[in-house]
Amino acid sequence: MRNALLTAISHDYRTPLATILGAASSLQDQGQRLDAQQRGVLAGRVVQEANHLARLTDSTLQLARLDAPGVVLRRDWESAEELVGAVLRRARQRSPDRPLRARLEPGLPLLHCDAMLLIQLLDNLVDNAIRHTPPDGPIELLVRRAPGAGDAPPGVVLAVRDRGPGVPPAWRERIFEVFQRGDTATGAPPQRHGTGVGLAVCRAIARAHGGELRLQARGHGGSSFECHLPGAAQPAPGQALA
Amino acid sequence: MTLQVLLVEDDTALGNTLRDALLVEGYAVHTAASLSEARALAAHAAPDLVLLDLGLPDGDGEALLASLGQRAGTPVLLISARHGEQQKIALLDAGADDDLVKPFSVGELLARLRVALRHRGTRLAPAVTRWRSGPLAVDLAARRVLLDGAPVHLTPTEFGLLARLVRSACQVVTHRQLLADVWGADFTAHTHDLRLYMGQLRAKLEAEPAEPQRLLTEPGVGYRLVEGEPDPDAGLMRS
Repeated sequence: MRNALLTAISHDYRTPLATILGAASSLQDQGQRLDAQQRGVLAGRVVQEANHLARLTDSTLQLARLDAPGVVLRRDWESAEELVGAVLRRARQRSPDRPLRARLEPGLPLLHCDAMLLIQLLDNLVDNAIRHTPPDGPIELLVRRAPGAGDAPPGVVLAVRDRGPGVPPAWRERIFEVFQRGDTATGAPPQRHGTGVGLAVCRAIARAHGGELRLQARGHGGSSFECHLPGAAQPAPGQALA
Repeated sequence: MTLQVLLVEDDTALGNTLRDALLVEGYAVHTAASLSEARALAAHAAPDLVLLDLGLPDGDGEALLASLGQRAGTPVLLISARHGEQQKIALLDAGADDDLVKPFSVGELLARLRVALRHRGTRLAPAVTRWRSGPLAVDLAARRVLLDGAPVHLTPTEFGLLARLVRSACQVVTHRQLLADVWGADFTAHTHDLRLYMGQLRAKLEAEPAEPQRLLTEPGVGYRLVEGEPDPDAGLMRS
């Protein structure tokens, strides 16, 4: 794990760092000779790549944390609608022109989960879909009930679905491994390159909740990343003062 | 009148960047690199707002918050790291007004700053009894809620929840604060009730409950009632 992380860090971090250093040093050294629009483009690139690095740092730290023995989740009762709402809000701020929508089955049970982690999971999946599908390609967040095994309470499936190029069968499992990425030389999918630690941390989050994250190919093209979470017996409501 | 900001930040590079951004916007800035320095400055400079980084070497900020409490009405905006939720929530419960998670853009900082300053002193001012945002109008005294001019029937608990958010409009209110004030001190662990009633409230007041425009979720922390569309400046520096 440690080596895989170090490899992922050295590979995934160098590209955005190189872009930031290039753009920032150009502003510093040549700023006087550039016009306002050129300066704006460079500054925008610094902001964009720094945001990407921030997300990468979150994922990498989270993966290291979840890999440590005795990891404790901060579980509380959460509503799927709220988690999805928070993810959509962020995604719309980042990509205002992307068609995004949420579909939630009515009457979903509450989830007993770590909200920050599940938001990170969904956020990474949405970001992944945004980066690897055409700019006008629709992305859908879907939440539905899943029957529990035997007497177990019903679980929930949270899915992020796109209509992008999809992932070849040979890669549908490997893309969840830390630092697996497409390699054109071996016929792997170049479209999905650069997932680095992103999908690995998503799966680690699902598993830390006793669930699983899988990739399903969609009937008419595209990918559906599906996080299955086990159900929890719902708490009894309390009586309010008001 | 120039507004005075007390910036408490121990990282020199971030501190200088924030100071310069605030100066450009016309604020007067006092900087402190530790909590003890901040307490001394707060006593003399009488800041209009305090911007407090939670990762300071000499304490967790509770003492500073307590000493500012004596000059109630000074908004405190927290700067926190992701994964620092526990400390942040404790300080929000103790009276801090809002928080920004690192890394943030200057646009976000300035937007939060304006909100905090606009609501400065509201804890001392006579209680807000009427609140309006776009099609939503709330009259706390008459216990009446109108959406597009039509009355909305809320259960007593739903109304209590909305009223509590109206009293701290635009600011984050923690789960604990909402549960203590609406359900009672014995119910602060009943997050599940809060989720259910917030869902009901959104179903009645939001056009698209999964994408609320007013009753926003602050994941892991609480809720925030905002006035319609978010501040357009908030995304200014984002990619």
